[in-house]
Amino acid sequence: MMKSVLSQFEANSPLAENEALRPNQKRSSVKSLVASPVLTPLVDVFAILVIYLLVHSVDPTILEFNKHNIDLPRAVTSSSVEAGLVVSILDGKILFEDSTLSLSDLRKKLDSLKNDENNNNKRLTIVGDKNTSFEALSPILEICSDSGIQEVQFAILRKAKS
Amino acid sequence: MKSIDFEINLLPIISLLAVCISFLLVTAVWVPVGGVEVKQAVGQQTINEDSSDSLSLWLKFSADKKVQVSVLDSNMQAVVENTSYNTTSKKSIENLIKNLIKSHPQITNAIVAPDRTTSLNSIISIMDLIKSNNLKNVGIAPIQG
Repeated sequence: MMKSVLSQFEANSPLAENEALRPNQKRSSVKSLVASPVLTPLVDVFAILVIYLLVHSVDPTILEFNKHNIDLPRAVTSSSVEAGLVVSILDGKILFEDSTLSLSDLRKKLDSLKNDENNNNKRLTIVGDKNTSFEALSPILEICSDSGIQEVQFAILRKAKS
Repeated sequence: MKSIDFEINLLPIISLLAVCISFLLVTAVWVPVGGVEVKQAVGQQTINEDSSDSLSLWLKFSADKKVQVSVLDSNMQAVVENTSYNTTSKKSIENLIKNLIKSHPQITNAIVAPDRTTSLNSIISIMDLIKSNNLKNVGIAPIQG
């Protein structure tokens, strides 16, 4: 009884089917009862996982808004950051479009963009270290207001609600 | 004659893919960047006031790491007097904000007035508390003078 069940199981196994496709191959005199796992679906799953992780593991907003690896403050309530002007504050220096500017230069730069319709200059994101004092932020907010920037936001890292 | 029927050894491919998955899982950046919108309390882009009946929630930081919470009307007259809290006691501030919004439904906006020394982290924390109480219109007052 036991033998017949095992022989039936082996006859229906992928190994037996494989052997049927290759009749010239010498059949082992001792029947193997070790099942050979089908690896192709496993490879498919792994490949899909790799592709998914490649696409989703890097948040593009990190590259755009925090390229200087600034230690951002964290908040629960936040909106998504959208494309626009980015002003970073790094060690007290004001960085705009990868160049260090003084406050007067920033004012000139934003004023020059004020009437340029082609530029997406109505939204500005301030990227500052969490320990940045308001003394450094306040002049930038005033310049934004004077330059007609309609939407100002601080870049933050989203944290889960506790 | 060589047989055209051959098997690809899948084990090295699986090993390679497993290493790739492990590497990507370890190096992935899972914390997304967001934004906290802020409106100006003074200047050209001022915070909107819906009507003369509307009230404003003011949170004023002081240099000694305290925050004074008050409710002002459109004429800057205090409806609710200052209540001072330490900036670290977030739960107390959150409860006060919640109660003030509940007792004064006319509160339509909030204005954060930081001190020179106030850190961005403290400002964002307070703005986060306000916004989590469904008061989305949050402004920030620049340093005067």
